[in-house]
Amino acid sequence: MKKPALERPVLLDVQDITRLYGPGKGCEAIDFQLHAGEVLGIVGESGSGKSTLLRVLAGMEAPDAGRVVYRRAIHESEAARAGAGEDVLDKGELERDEAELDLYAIGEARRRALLRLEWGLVHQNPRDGLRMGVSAGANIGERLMAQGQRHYGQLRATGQEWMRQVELDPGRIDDAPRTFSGGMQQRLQIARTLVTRPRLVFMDEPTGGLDVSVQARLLDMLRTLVRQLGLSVVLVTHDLAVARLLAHRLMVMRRGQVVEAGLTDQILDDPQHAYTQLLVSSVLTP
Amino acid sequence: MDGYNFAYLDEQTKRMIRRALLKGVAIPGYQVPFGGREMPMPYGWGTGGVQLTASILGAYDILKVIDQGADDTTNAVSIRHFFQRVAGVETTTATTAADVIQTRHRIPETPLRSGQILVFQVPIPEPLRFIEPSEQETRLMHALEEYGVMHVKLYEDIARYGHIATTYAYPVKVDGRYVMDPSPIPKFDNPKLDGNPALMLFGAGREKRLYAIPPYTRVESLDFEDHPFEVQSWEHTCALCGSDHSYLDEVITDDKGGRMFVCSDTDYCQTRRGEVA
Amino acid sequence: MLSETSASPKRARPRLTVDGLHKRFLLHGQGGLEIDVMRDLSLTLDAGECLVLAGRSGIGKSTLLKMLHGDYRIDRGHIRLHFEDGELDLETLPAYAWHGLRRDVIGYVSQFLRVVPRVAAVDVVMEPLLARGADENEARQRAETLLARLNLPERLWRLPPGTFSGGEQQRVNIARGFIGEHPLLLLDEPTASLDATNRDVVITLIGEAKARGAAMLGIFHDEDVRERVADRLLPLDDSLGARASVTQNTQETLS
Repeated sequence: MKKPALERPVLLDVQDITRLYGPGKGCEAIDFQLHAGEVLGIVGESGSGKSTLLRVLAGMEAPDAGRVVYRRAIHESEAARAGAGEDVLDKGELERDEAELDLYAIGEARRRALLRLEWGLVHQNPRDGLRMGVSAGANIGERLMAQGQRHYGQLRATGQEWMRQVELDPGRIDDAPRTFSGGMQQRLQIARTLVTRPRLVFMDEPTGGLDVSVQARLLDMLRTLVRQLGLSVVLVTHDLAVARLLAHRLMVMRRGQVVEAGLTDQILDDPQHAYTQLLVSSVLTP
Repeated sequence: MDGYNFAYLDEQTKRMIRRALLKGVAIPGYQVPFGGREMPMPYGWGTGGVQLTASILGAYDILKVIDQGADDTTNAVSIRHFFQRVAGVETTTATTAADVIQTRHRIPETPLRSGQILVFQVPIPEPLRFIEPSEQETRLMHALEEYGVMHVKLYEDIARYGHIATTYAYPVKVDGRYVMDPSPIPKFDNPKLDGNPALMLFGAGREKRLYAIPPYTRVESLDFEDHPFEVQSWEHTCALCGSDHSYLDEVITDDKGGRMFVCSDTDYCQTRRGEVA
Repeated sequence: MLSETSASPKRARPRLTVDGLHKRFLLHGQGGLEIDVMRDLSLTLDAGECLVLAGRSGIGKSTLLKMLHGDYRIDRGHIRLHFEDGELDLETLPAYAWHGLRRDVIGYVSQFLRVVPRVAAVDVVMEPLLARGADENEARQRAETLLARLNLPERLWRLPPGTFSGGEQQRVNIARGFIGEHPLLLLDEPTASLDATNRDVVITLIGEAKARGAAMLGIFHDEDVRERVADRLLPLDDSLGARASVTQNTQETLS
């Protein structure tokens, strides 16, 4: 047999990111690359700096030092992505031929356009990611409307299709999110984020705060969506079981620094660093 | 009138407001902040419009003031009297005779002509305010043309009522760029904003913002392809002048359920009756 | 898979060579205790061949499989895959490159099923095919065929395997491991909790994998199975694996 093609293009190149609120508070000298189609888990306890890092990566907070470079050149392997044929960037906010975008050097207008058009963010608390005052359909349709879709019937059809995809009853498209349960709100937030088929999605404890039975269903759904849409994901979680099931690769953070990084199975089954060993051995297994 | 400068405001203030107006005209639909003054009337009574009118009024201009289309309602009468006293200008009720028309909630039915100026009184200038309470954020959204949420509101209308239920202060896009609140005029008047030969100025006194639509500017009402913008229509005609293409008010005539529909634009209605007679 | 022009199909080019492999666990939580579980292990595995690791419990058989699958780090030594057009050294492979390697080249049937709870058995089995972009109906059909061959009652197919018996779970796991027809298969006691009938099915599956040229490295405690599937035995002893006195404390006591 022939050698398999294992190379995957780098999608996000994170170079020496530092964002400190005080000594040991925040994140320091973070360096890594996210490859197309990868799910990278960032794990650590609260206060480890993983959330700060996510905010910097997701364009919400400028770092004190370092660069976040998004390489959006369309690679061959990605061209095959299902449904990714249409380019949504017809607004001129991001020039199509631009291969590299330095997240904090491109200016706010283009950064926000990038976040809106090619990236997505799933908050831990669905209330932070949803408009609670408008219907489920309007929530799902917002990003499409922001891209210029102006056909109510189509927006509605897309909304119902996505509700089905995330296992919500399409008959509830006109209901306000506040009438949904926590798990349903989280699925609605995911639909709202993924409806524009972003290439890169950031998730902050997406299953946190949910009942265990609801968690399992959401995990399966996320796995399926990642595979079907060919998403690249940066996932922040404190839950090693969630990380095991979703992430291909892990970075372990402690006191603002990455203490260990590698394949998920390697980190969890053969941890090298003393802290990782402690973390892994502290997990309760039923 | 002794003790006051012409048209009440001092010349410095007028100059400041005129500079802001020039900026507004240069960037159609863009909200320009200005240093609003205290006026001898409460907010909500048209202090924004009054300051704009005061700043552009010349001694030989003829002024018309309407409220909901009528020249004879309290708000219109008091503002007309105000300028008669502090500027001594000639006033009129005839749309065609006026150089400057200050209005609350209507655009006259009689087509405006080049050279006329229409000054709108605006309560809430920010069309994005309903969804975004932060001024900093809405300014950024305008700057970056992030107007997706405007359609969220229209979408919600259709989802709830089966049609776009917004009937007044219906949002428009000016010159293909800025989304603007046309003030609480009925959406019936929105088409009159488009390509109008007159200069249209908008003043919000409480929020100290002004904006403008220069003559012959493209103004589109936001809508969906499959739910296009539509103006109101009536089964009735005006009980007084018989008009079937003007904006009608429903008037209760007695306490036995009697009612009639009449033009909200009193000058238009009277002119038609004069012509018919 | 197997080069058909090869004069002697039995001694085709090797698919896998392992050279001078070492593994040491350093347990920080136990005062920096160091445990050598593998010393200087070398082997060659050909296409179409099943090599069975032998040796007592705790000698490092599972450790080797886990190193080959990327679950354990390679401390020292070389693991090399051979292809028609070149070689691939696993000890220097960047983490991201493992994703594709596991999807397309190295399959693993572990002893324990680790899947998202509440996912139906048939979906668990077909996932490796879907990951390669296979058609969903086709994948489902193949998954059902495999589950039927492994005598998993059809009423269980749509149920999540969390509540299944050990033997039923293992059959789901086997189906999931074999469905992808990986050219290199790592088998960690796939027949441990199966009855005779299903053991026979697994032996048939292994035979079929051999026939299509897959190279397999396995651990089988059952003498009978071992004899029926093994083309060669690789005995691990204390000179290669860990000393018994030390392994009592390692993570390896499970295997």
